[in-house]
Amino acid sequence: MKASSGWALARLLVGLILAYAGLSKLLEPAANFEATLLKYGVYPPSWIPWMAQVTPWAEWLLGSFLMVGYAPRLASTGTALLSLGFIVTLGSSRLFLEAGGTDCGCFGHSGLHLSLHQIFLVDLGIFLVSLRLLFLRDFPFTLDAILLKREGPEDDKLKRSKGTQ
Amino acid sequence: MQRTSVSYLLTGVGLTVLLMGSILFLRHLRPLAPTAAADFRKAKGPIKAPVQLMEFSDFQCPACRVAQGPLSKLLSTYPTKIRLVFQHFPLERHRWSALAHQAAECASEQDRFWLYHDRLYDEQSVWSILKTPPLENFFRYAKEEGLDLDRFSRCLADPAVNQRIRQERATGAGLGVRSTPSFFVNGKLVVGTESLRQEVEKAAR
Repeated sequence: MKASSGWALARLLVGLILAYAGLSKLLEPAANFEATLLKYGVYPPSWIPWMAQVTPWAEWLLGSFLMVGYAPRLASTGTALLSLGFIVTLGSSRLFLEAGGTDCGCFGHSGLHLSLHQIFLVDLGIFLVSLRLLFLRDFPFTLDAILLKREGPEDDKLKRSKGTQ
Repeated sequence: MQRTSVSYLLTGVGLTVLLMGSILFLRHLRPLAPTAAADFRKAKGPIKAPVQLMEFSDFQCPACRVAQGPLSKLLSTYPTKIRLVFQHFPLERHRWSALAHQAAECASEQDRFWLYHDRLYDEQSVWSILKTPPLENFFRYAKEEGLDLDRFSRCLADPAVNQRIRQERATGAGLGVRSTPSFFVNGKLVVGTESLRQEVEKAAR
């Protein structure tokens, strides 16, 4: 029980970080995040506009889903992939190697300011937690727990009725 | 089982709509104004400079060309204190302005914005008087500034680029820009190079 509460807390924290990162970028012009992505110099400039549009929405939706616990396994698969993408981006950026103290711009220009080295560690943490969440058997304190519990007996009835036919 | 899946899916759809709707509502409450750090490709100077300068300009406007001299002087006087961000503001009465801005935006996609920007102003008296679209001139500048011409050509035909420029212009109009060049010094609208110099010097002190 204690371990599952711990993982529930970790799930909330990871969800909160990602949802906040998405929200802070979505409430600023997409050009701000375009500037951040360009600064990294990893992706071709033609990819940048759509990446700057899609990434904050993915962070906001996946983070929120993870926080409330709707489809947590699917959401944690998404957050694991997203954070892996961030890790790879940071790792292949010259900026990370040469000026790791630079503001990462991951929380927009007016949000929280973390250096590239700090956000690398945060992303690594998110990746590891998401990976662990993928292999949990059940998810307490989630919307899923409520939804599936409520619907459970009906399922059983349905299964039973199917069994008698 | 089917009913379970449907209600579960509906909850997910409802949640997604709620999450997306809340963002759109917040954006409606607080319109997205560009910040000086908004466009990395069309900006120069330190990101956290004390003077955040935004220029709304038109490449075919003679006053904008004249303003480039005093502006460059200010940038060289305060190299560490000014962050300049260029914003498109093509005026409809200038025949080749929209095309010039699209060409500059395409140069910006290849990280050559400032070179192309300078070129357009330097040669303004040549291309602005032409009777036919100055495509040949713009391609020549692109070639001479080291742009990939295939990409440049594709970008020139891309309506999304034009849409971006229109959006910037609309943002400027929304912020109160009526003529070019117009500047924002730390968010304050300044028109005219003399007022600009005074405002920048005050802010840089």
